[in-house]
Amino acid sequence: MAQLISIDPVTRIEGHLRIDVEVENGVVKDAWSSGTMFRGIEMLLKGKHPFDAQQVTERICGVCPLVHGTAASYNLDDALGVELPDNARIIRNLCLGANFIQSHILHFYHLAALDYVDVTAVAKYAGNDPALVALKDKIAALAKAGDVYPFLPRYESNDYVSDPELAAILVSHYVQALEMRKKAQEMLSIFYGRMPSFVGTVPGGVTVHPTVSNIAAFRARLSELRAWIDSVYVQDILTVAKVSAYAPFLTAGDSGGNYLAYGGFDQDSKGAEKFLPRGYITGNNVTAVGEFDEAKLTESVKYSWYKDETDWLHPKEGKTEPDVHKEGAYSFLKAPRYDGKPMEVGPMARMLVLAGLELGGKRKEKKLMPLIEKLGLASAVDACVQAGKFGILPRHAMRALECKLLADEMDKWLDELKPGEKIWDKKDIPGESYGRGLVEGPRGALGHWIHIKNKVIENYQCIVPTTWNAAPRDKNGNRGPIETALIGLPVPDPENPINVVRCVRSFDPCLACAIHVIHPEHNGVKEFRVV
Amino acid sequence: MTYADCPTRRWNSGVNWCVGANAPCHGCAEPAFYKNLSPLYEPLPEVHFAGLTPMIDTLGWIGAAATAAGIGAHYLYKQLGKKEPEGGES
Repeated sequence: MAQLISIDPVTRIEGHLRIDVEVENGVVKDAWSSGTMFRGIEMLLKGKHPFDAQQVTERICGVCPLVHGTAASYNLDDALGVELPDNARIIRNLCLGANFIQSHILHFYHLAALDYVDVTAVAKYAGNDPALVALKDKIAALAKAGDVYPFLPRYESNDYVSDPELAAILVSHYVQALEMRKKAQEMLSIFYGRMPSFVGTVPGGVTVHPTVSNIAAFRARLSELRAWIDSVYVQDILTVAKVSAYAPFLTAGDSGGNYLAYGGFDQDSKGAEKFLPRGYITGNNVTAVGEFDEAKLTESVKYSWYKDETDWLHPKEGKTEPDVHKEGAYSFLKAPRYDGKPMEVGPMARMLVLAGLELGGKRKEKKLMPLIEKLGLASAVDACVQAGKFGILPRHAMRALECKLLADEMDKWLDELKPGEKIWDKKDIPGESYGRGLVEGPRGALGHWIHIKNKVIENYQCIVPTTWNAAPRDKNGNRGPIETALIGLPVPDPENPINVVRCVRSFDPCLACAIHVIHPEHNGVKEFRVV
Repeated sequence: MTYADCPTRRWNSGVNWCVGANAPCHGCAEPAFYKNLSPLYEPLPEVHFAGLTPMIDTLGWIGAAATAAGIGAHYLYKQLGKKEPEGGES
């Protein structure tokens, strides 16, 4: 008999996500993904000065303000007809890259790793490494004081990495990763003033000139991060991937085989060439990368708490009109679709699009495929291609490979900055105009759309990466990518659905793009009326 | 006027702050943020002083809620025609 398991909220992600799975005979039979908060940022912007957009949309999320500010800047650039100076383009790429590094390290170590590593095993460490002994003592002291968050409680499972030596090393990297993330945030701060809620990108360019001093300060931190990514992050991913108990995760957790990347890190002022390419894949046919057509984007609200008459609109005409009592709805996330299909976005989508283009000879220089060979991952990738499925482990591995490729490339971009040259193209706000900003954030394809009328914002719409990945069903009944990925996963113990959260977390969901409306005086959740 | 310790504490281990990145203070620590502070960016008026070259490519933004320290520093550097310091980086 089927049993319903509800996980609400899913912890160790960003934001508020509820997952319901129906389990029969120890296997997930059906799944529902619900965003349980409402995002009203777009509504705040109506009637406001267009230049407010990048500051206000940054507040969508404290984890990834960078990507929203960047998308909003490109959006405004488009609406204003900006010709982005090279310095501004490169500084935006460097800061976005720093955010990718910070976010990818955050995801693996501080959000996902505890699904695989048994922290309690560190107590049994018997070696002599002073750093690991100190870690063991620290964890023992925390346990004695009853201060064991965020390590415990957890779902129990018999397949955690429990070798004391290996667990101690991995947990020590968990601690090091905090320091590494700090360095990446400092890199951002050098050009963008601060992180989060940075200020350094504006419509038309950036606010800080490149100088010998700030380039050197950025590079010093980048060099440390590159060494750590190579020697620790990538190596830890390989170590965890080799654990025999996790072998099924190579293909388990496949999201349905559709992948979308808007592409990012423009290599010229028009964005014709991008370091991470634009394209889409359907049916896991990696070598057939399709050409992206923005007109094929739509959002379904059939199962979302929005008015039915706003169903299946292009984001350019998108509407945010809540209907919280709607029958059958189960999410505040809309269901974005490309050509009517659900799409996984994020590092796996980007790397598969890149791999497809490299294999098809459509990239000037191959970077990803040689790295896959070098790290001994070719046979694993082949196994995924043969099975027609890319699961939980490839999702983690692709994120790490992307982090390495990007960090190495950023070092070259620093050399392309030209101190003393232009950083801003001044343009006036037109009476009426439309714009779009399609970029990649760490979690995937991010789109902002603006309609300016009478020099103020008439309409603003965002489709954020997790809206793609954690989307509910659409008007045709097609499940969202996370919902599909969960089906078929083994759940031997309904009290400890560890594989469900392993799968969900591998997508790096970020639901913070949905916000509560809290009354400032009594701190209660405010009822909002749709007028 | 914004009441915050950004000018002294700065951000991200003291690396920088908004005004150090040639950007205005938006008053984000104020209870009124953001409803009563829009527009957040207004271009500075062209200011010309005898004997000084106008800094055409310098972004002159004024925040709706600039800090006293921030706005003072910004105007001063603009008037002197000097590049602002690199936010504590050396």
